[in-house]
Amino acid sequence: MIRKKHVLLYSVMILMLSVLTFAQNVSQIDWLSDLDSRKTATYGDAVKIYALQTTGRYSTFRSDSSLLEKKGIALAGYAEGDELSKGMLSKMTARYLDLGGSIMYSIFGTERYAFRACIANGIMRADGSENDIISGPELVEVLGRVSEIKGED
Amino acid sequence: MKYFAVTILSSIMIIYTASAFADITVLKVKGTAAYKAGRKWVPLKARMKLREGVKISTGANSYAEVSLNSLNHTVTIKPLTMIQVFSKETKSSTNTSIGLKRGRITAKVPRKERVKTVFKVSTPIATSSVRGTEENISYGPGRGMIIEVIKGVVEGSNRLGRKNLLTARQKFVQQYSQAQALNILQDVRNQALITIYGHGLTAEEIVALLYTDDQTGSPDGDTGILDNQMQQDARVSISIVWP
Repeated sequence: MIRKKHVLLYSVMILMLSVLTFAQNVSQIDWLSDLDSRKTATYGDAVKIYALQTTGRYSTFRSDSSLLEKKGIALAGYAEGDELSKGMLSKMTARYLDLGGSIMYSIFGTERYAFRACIANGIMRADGSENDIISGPELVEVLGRVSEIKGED
Repeated sequence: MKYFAVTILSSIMIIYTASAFADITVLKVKGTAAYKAGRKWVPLKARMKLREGVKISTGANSYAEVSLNSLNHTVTIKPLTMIQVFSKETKSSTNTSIGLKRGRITAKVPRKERVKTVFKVSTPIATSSVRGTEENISYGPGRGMIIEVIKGVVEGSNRLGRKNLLTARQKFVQQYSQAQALNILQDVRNQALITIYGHGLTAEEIVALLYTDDQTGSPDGDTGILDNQMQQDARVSISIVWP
């Protein structure tokens, strides 16, 4: 009788685990919808979307940042709520895609030349400067292009 | 007699309505994809039937493939995309309209004789009309709407009604605040020709020349980073190749 109970208990646990494994986390869809309506994206948003891009999930800003730091994507000296500029996003993107097309970016690795490298690779539009603040929909658009280049779709 | 007529009319209406709305069925899902039910996003699963006017959204590294009617018209929804689908079907015609809010889709619209097909993909700035073909369409606030033809013929038209008929290798690019789409052969031209400016220099060479004075990348020309490195030793490996 006890053995039967154990078998039943393990079966239920395996079933629940498999359901959890295959369950989709729709919270990222909610977050993306929210991002769509924002006129200004933050560095925290960029960290979150790159965490999603690299691991398929996101957590707190601190743990996502340390994860991206290990992968060499995170930027130093920015807080979660800092407004995201084209230069900042370009630098994260250039690091993620390992862009080496621009000589100036290869040498200096600054946000300015990362932005130019992103333009050269068709990720960013040539108008504007690296200091321009990025909106929520623009951030999502850039990551869509990154996926396309990576061939992840 | 009156009761009989009402019954017949109701039956006809029910049959007509049932045939007017096409079956929108989910074929494949990878990663996170969801459809909107009321005010909530619900996970999308394979073989799921969706209603007319459904909104579908995909997450990072995720995609979904959806069949739009019995003629095997399909749309593949790429990562970070949001669309709304309207699809109607009768025996002699299909009418599909997709609203692309953001992201990228691939539409496959096999042509069938004797079936009048209307297949439109709309964004806030332009519309694509497919005539038996395969195409990639993307839309975003920065790059605008881009239609790439894989197979067949597509018509791209902007909000001002300016139209371009596209076939293979041609690309329709309509950007915000532009009255006209870019040249449909711009990509082919860019790949084949390099623009040369004064003194035989390319754009990249001019950019390199312009910015060699300001190697720190700072807007005001601050050379502090380089100045701080002036007193340091550096090891440089040089490989000399004699002609």
